[in-house]
Amino acid sequence: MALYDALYNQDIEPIMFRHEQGAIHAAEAFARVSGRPAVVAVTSGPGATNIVTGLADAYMDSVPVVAITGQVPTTIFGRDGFQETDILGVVTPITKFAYQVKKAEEAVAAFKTAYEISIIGRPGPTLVDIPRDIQLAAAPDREEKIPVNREKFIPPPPDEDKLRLAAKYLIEARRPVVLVGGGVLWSGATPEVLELSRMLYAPIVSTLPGKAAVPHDYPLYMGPAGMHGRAEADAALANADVILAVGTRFSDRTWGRFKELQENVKNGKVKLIHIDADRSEIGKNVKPTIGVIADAKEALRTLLKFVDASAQRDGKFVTWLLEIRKKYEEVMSKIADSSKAFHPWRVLKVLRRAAPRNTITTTGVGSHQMWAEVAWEVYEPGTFITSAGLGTMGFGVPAALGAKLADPTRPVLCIDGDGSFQMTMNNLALVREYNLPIVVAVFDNRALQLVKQWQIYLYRRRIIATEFGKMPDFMKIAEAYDIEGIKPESYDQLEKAVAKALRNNEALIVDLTIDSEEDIVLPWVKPGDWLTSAILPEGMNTPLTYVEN
Amino acid sequence: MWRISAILPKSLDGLGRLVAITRRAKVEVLKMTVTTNDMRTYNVVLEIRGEPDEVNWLVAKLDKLPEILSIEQINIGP
Ligand SMILES: Cc1ncc(C[n+]2csc(CCOP(=O)(O)OP(=O)(O)O)c2C)c(N)n1
Ligand SMILES: [Mg+2]
Repeated sequence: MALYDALYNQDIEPIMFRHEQGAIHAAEAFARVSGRPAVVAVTSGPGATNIVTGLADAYMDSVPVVAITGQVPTTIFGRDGFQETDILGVVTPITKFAYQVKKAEEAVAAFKTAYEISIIGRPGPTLVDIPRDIQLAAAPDREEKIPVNREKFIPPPPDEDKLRLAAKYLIEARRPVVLVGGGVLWSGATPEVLELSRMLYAPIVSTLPGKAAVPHDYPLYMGPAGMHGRAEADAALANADVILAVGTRFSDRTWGRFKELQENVKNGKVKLIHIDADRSEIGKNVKPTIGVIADAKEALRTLLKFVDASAQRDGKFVTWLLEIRKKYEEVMSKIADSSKAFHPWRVLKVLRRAAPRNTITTTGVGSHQMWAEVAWEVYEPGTFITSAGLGTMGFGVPAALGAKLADPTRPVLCIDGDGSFQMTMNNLALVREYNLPIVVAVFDNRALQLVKQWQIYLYRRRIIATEFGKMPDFMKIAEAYDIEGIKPESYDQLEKAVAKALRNNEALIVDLTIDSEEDIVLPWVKPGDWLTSAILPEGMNTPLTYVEN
Repeated sequence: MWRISAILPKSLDGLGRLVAITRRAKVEVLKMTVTTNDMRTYNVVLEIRGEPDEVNWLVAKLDKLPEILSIEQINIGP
């Protein structure tokens, strides 16, 4: 309270979310859109524990947020005082930096340090815990330094010799592939990635966070690979002979499993070049042929110097990948045609037509998110914001609000699940209070569909605790928050309503009736499987192993 | 056997963060000492057994903590 009191009549506008989790997800999106750290200030005890999910989310997806938590006075530490929680102990493994201020002289320095560390090198969440007596103490003239080693976060200049060799491998490759992770976005290395891909005639594949870094209308972008990636992306990664992986942590969600890759790198069949700003990522899951610790943009610029002439390459591999893409689109179109209800795949195509190119999209977590991974087209870097590493249901609505706060000039669309939506829809109160007109499209399958899909495939259809019984009326929810609601009956109606709202900067909640039985998101690489064993939609039996002829 | 030696500010919060990471390493911690010489910093020495990759994982993860001011690892034989 003392901290907020100090903000009274100051030039800082607090934005009051209706739940602390909402505030921190909004801060995550704010940071991603603005490129600057965002600050969340919460009370001690339950206020602090309510942001834990968001901190873990930001840690997994490398997002710079700074949390300020209140704390009981130092005099009653450890006495289980009202609303005392050892928040430092709680957030220790999920923060880049966490500090409890124990002297008034440290308060300002602690905040500055937390702010700076959140954004330096690979971004991440930080937390400053301020006990009540420190908050009430008079502001000292003296600032006490917080002893930390910042230098280690600044990536060294790229190693030229390694990159010269990497360039040689890439030029000589038969099937080079560039794998783009979220690090490319933070580093602003999209132009370099595209140029390199063009020069090498190398397809680009991304991770889920990396999806936001590549404009999808670039013809050599194959989409995200992995558990719910695109078939042509899985095929590209699995059949590459040289992989340039940039700003990615080799997640099991991207690779299914590492055995094949590890073996192929070890026996020299695949040359893996890994560029990352975080030293601890090189070799963590897969030992690369060449590992370069550097900022992505700087490293790629250096690499481009060595890839001077366009590589001569036969186009068969890329043609093969593009055929897989074409086949998938054909098959999905047929499947969607045969559906009486809205089909998620087609809904996304329609929404994309309705949304201006610069629309920022956020998602919840579940099948709707995986459909968006596969089918949503990102045109401008940074305009797709999703909870990738932690997979946090409830992320979508507050993230949309945070994105709108960061850039009110852009349309914001939240692609949400009915389960995810119900977790944080209380934050819709901010739409009118702060004039944050967002459009929320709720994929209403009355189920925790992604888990249900796993039950269907992995547990022989033993469906338990994934189907909702009585549902709230989302149109009434919309009305309660003074937002227009629509339950469209056709794709045409959907497109018109969403296009109008996004173009005119109006808030809208769309309730899309989806048949849970038809909502099976494919391709799907089952957990622990290799990319080539992706389950493909019915009617698509293209093998994902490349045969050279 | 490996010896990891780290210097951090004399704070149990920082030490707690160091232990939290070490808990998740696939190594066996045989000995751990925490001493202070200058009353401003702790010197933590860990003697551990484990695969070199796992030891490297641990050192790399520990070195991500801003409060680890310096860190060293040496092989001290079988
Ligand atoms: C907070 C949280 N709880 C549980 C899960 C596990 N989980 C993953 S997807 C999913 C279902 C999501 O349902 P919904 O938002 O309706 O999306 P759908 O899959 O139906 O499209 C669940 C329960 C999670 N990711 N996050
Ligand atoms: Mg659902």
